[in-house]
Amino acid sequence: MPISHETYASLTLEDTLWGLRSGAFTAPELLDAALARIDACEPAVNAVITMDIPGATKAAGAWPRNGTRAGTGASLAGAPIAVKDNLMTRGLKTTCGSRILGNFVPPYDAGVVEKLRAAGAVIVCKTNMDEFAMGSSGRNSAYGATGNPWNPKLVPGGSSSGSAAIVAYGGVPAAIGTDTGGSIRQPASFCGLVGMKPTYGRVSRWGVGALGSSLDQVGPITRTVRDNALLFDIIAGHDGRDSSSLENPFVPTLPTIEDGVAGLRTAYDPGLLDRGGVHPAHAEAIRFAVKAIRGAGGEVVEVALPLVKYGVAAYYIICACESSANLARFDGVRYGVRERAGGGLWDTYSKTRGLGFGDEVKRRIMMGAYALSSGYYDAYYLKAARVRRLFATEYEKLLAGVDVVLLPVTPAPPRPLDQDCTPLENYLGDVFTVPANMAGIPALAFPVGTHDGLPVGVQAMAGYFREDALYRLARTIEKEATLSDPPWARPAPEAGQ
Amino acid sequence: MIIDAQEVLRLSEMLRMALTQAEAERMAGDMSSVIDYVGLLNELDVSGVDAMGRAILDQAPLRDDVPGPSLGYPDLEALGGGAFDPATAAFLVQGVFAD
Repeated sequence: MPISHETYASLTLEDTLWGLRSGAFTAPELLDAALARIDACEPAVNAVITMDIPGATKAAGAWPRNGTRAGTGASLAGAPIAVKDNLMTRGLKTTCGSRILGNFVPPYDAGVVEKLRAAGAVIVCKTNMDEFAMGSSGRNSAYGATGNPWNPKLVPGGSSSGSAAIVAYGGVPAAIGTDTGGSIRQPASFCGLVGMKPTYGRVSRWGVGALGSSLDQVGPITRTVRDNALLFDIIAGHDGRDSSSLENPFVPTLPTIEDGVAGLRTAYDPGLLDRGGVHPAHAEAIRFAVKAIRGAGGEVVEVALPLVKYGVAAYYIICACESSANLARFDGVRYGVRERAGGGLWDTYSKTRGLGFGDEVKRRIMMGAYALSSGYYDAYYLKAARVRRLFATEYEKLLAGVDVVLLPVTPAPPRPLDQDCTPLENYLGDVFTVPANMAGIPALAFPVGTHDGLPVGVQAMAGYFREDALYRLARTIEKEATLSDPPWARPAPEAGQ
Repeated sequence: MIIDAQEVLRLSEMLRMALTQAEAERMAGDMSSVIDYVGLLNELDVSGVDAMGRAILDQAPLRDDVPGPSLGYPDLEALGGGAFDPATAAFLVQGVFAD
């Protein structure tokens, strides 16, 4: 039976799969609703860079009724999913949000995209993002800024701006993002969603446009904690093509998600909330979470996290150094846009990179090259890498005694889309998210309520491979949380609203 | 400023990334403020601390040295608008000294 795009927009991933399996609607009907919702919302939000209507139609057509095909066991059969535009998709343009890859069509699928397709997902589109994942606003895209569906005049966060926005306006029930210093968790939080940055090495990075290779992870963005676990369980696991992929056996997280918080020990730093610099609503969100955990029989202890304030300084040096090396490959020769120059190959390289990269990308490439250059290496990169060790050690010791650490996701709510900030002001917004990337531990952002019409979330971190503990904790708190008037339950926003 | 426009232009030349004078001046200000902020790390004593290049594993696990499938023609043709030339099944590279 056809389904209206307004009804579709509120369906969770689990609702979608239940409807497909029960025969309430078919995958092609669901896709029609998804395309109608995206059409209605895109003029105001701009979450999508490239639609794949032919590919999605073909994929949905494989699940014509009841969402199942005998013997396949495909767990996402017929579900519409969006993928950030820095994951390679065979035969479908992949820009990384950059002009320099404006014409790049990969000849292969990323490891995560392979898993999604094997599970029966219908990949509807590639989502907008800050160029090469450098940014936390959704403004640094060569394909235009993305608006926040809660209020299109505000930023949605970034760099997975489009993946968060399309889930928030109900274009798809789930999307894939990448997180190098908070790029899944921060936009998920600004859009009232659940976003997981998995343990480093838990999800394949094969076929992901690299930003900081020692920091990048791929993860799901959804509207519910259960949906997030469901999608995480599909994309996690070893991939021999990614040299950082871990061979440790993977245990699915969804089967234990309703186990509650009894037996889990959670820590938070009350001093961090009282020292200033954290918006009162974000501090209150942590206190709400603490109360919910205790109310559900979990133990909460107070700790001190003295290194937090050093995270941004160390992270931005490490990330700039790695991105400077990673982006050296974009020269207009092997792939992407080529800006021919009359002076020969060097001039072509220079013109291609000068015109192809945006300001933030150029700034980080130069920062990285500067920090790695002779005479400065010890003072900047080596120092930052040693501070990184201090972070990892701090969290290792802390997580030996507790299961979960609670932190805000961001110090402040999303800012106006038209408000310019200095690069440093932008970077400082990542103060609570970068520690998990530096230490390599999993971290989950999830909403706990609304304040002044905007969602407010909290972040939970755990030890290596303890995504299960994060989901159990978040699922417990989710039951106590209320999100008032979310955009997926509203009519489509009007452009210019 | 810690870095001036001249230093930025020197870096951009080494990085084969053309910048205008105006861009260089703006970048010099931005980079100087970030580098100034990074001085915060000097508050920490890191003597005797090992540098950390990656999380969890100190060394990437090696896979078996067995040939696997790789991209070939016509997969490479799927690069479409890139530098791959279907007529010659090659990547066209501009001359080093001139067109």
